[in-house]
Amino acid sequence: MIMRTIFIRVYFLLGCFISFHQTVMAVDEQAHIKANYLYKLTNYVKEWPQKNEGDFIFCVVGSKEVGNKLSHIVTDKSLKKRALRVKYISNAKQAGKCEVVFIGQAQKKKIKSFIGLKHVLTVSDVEDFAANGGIISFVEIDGKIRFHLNKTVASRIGLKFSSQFIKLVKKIY
Amino acid sequence: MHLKDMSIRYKLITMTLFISGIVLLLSSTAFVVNDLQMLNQMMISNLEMQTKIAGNYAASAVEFEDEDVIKDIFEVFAEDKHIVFAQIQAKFSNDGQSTPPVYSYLRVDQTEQPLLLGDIQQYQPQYSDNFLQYSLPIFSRDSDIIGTIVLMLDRELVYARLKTYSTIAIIIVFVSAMIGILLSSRLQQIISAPVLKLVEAMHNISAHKNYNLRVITDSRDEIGVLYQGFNEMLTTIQERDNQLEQHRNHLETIVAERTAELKKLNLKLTYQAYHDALTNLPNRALFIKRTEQAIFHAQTSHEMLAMLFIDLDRFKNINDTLGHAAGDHLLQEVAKRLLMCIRHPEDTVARLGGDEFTLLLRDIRDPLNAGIVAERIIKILTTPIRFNQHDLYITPSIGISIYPKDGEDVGYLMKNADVGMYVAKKQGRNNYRFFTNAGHIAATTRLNMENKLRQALEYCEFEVWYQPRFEVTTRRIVGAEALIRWRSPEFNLVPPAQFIPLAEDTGLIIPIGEWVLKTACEESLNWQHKGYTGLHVSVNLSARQFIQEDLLSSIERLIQQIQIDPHYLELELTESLIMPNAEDTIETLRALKRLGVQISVDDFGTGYSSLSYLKRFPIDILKIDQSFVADINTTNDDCVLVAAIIAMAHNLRLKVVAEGVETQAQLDFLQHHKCDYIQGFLLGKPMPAHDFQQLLKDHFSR
Repeated sequence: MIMRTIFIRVYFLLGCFISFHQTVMAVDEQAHIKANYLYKLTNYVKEWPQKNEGDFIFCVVGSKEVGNKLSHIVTDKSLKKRALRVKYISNAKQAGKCEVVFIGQAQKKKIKSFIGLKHVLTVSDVEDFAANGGIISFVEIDGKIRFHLNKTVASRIGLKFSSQFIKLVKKIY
Repeated sequence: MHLKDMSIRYKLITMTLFISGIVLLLSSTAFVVNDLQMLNQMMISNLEMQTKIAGNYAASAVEFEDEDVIKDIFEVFAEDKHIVFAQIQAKFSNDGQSTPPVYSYLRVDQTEQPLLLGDIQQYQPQYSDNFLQYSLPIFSRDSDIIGTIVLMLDRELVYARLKTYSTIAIIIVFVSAMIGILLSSRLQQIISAPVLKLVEAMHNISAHKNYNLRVITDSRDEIGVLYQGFNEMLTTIQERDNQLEQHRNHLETIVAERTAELKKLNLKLTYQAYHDALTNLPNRALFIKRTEQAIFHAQTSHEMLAMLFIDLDRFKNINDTLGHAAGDHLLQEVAKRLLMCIRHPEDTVARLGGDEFTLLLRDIRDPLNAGIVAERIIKILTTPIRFNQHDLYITPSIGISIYPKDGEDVGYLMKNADVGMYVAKKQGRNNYRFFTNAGHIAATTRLNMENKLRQALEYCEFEVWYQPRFEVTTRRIVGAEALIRWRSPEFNLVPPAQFIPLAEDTGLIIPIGEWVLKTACEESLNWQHKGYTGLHVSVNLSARQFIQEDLLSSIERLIQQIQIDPHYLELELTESLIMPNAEDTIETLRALKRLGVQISVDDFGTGYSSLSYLKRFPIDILKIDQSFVADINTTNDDCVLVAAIIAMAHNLRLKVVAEGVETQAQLDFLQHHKCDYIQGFLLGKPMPAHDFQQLLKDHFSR
């Protein structure tokens, strides 16, 4: 009886482990795609709102995974001769030197504070981010990451996207 | 039909069409090729552009793996029906956990994806028969290659275009061929018309041989030159033709003249062939022909014909002594007179040759009429014929044969008339005889003998006998007279009187005389070799021999050949022989004398001779004819004559030989009158050579 119980426990533990691993794998891949898209997005921006000099800084908040992936991606890469760098921040006030700010789902509660940043491209994988005044939100459709864009906000802060990107946007606010 | 057999106009048309066809073909081919190439270029550049646009457009979609956008592109492709297939292959350089996606477009009518041509990473246009393919890389915003786009077009457009062009080309070729035929058949006339005109003119000229025609043209090109040359050639031909015509006319005239001459000549020759040149009387051939015609006529109308054969007595003597000129004149005169004797124009007088004439009397009704004609001939010939101060007396002997009695063809009639003539001659000449069978026999004998005589010399049937000649005072033999004898196997020993006249008539006397002369000379040499020296041999020379032109040379040759002393050779000539042509005779005699030969006159006293010749002629010896000697005993007159001859001869320093001494009385008389030599049976008959040698032997041993 005891032995049987032990066996059941072992199987259970084993099953837990495997399902956990799968979840981890899926989460890891999603982070990579998001980091990759985040990096690629910068290429489709025609005009940036501010003329910063020095390193081009990606600021990440609320998703350590995306931040890590992105750091890996942008290593040794540059944009308009500006070195790319990832910086973790914890709130909107730290976003002063940032060009792009990614707000992960973990910071969903604080998201409102990032809306209305004047000179930063704000991106979030929170689905209604664009609809609520953010600029771009990553939306998952049929297992693929797609984009929503708040063109009104973007134009207000002086961000202009390439039509090549706009045609990919599924919803424009 | 070969090209070379084609008329020049068809050649030109064919050539024009051929050339224009080639030009058209080449230019349209060039055009089509060029156009298709351009089309191809255009398609390629279109394809490139479409690929590029699509690639560009798809770049962000590929980057963010947005299939919807790519489908939008493919929907655009569906608008272009030539795009068969399109494919967008993504190529990620990320960690590669997921396979890069491939987006494909296939035209709705296609069931399966066509094979891609070549390596699409080459980014070059690729061709197959049906498809045109182009590929391009897809770049990301930061210029990384993130994929490849491939577009494949079908080439229907090219083929459709080709088809259209072919159709148009066929139509154009057809139309232009039509126009070409129309134009070239018009235009070729510019060249062919004058040539054809020339050809027609040439046909015209060669058909009608009219070289007066000329061709006219106003063109100054090569055709013009050809026309001019043709005309010049015609002029030349015309001139030559005219010349030829002239030559021909000239030749025709000449030929006509020659023909006329030949005709004349032919007539003359025919005349000559049938006529005797001397008397212009028909000759033997014509006479025979006429006789045959007459016989043919006489057969049907039962007429009687007479043929007269006329032979002139002693004509040969006249010919021999007075020469051929006299003989010819005589014959001509006789011919004239004979023509006067005939009664009808259809009667024929002909000369067969020599002194033989013939008459053919037609339709005589009675044989007596032929006799009347013969008498008339005898009478008309009685009048002497004058020639160079000579009166020539001639008498005919005429034989007559009657058709059909004496023969029914020409041969018999002539032969029998000849027999009649022979009989007439034998019976004293100067008369005529009708043919009888008896006469025929005699004539046959004569003819037979004549034939034998011809053979005699060949068969050595002749012999020479010798009659000794004695000196009267000493009774010594001083020589001999060579006398010919004919020992015929048929007739035995024929006396000279029988065959010598025959030999004279036939001309055989000449070879016979030569043979006698030669044999006598050889015998004389024989005597000398046997020691009987100083003997003369005398040989009789006939008239025929004497007038021979080579008499002297042949005697000289004989003397040389036999090596006889010419002094011992004595030639005996008759009085009648040497008399008539006195001057010629003297020349011959002198020449003979120069050879050293002795000359004697035989039968002296029988001819109608003048004594004066004896003085002028170089004669050595006179031989008194035996008729005088025979009469010595009977008649006083003859005795006187013989004595006178001897005396006269001695006065002229001639020796005298008496012939035919048969009695002692005669010998005594001759001795009394100092005759030098004698011959005769009293002292020696003629004898064969062998006997004569025996006689000499006896005589000299005495």
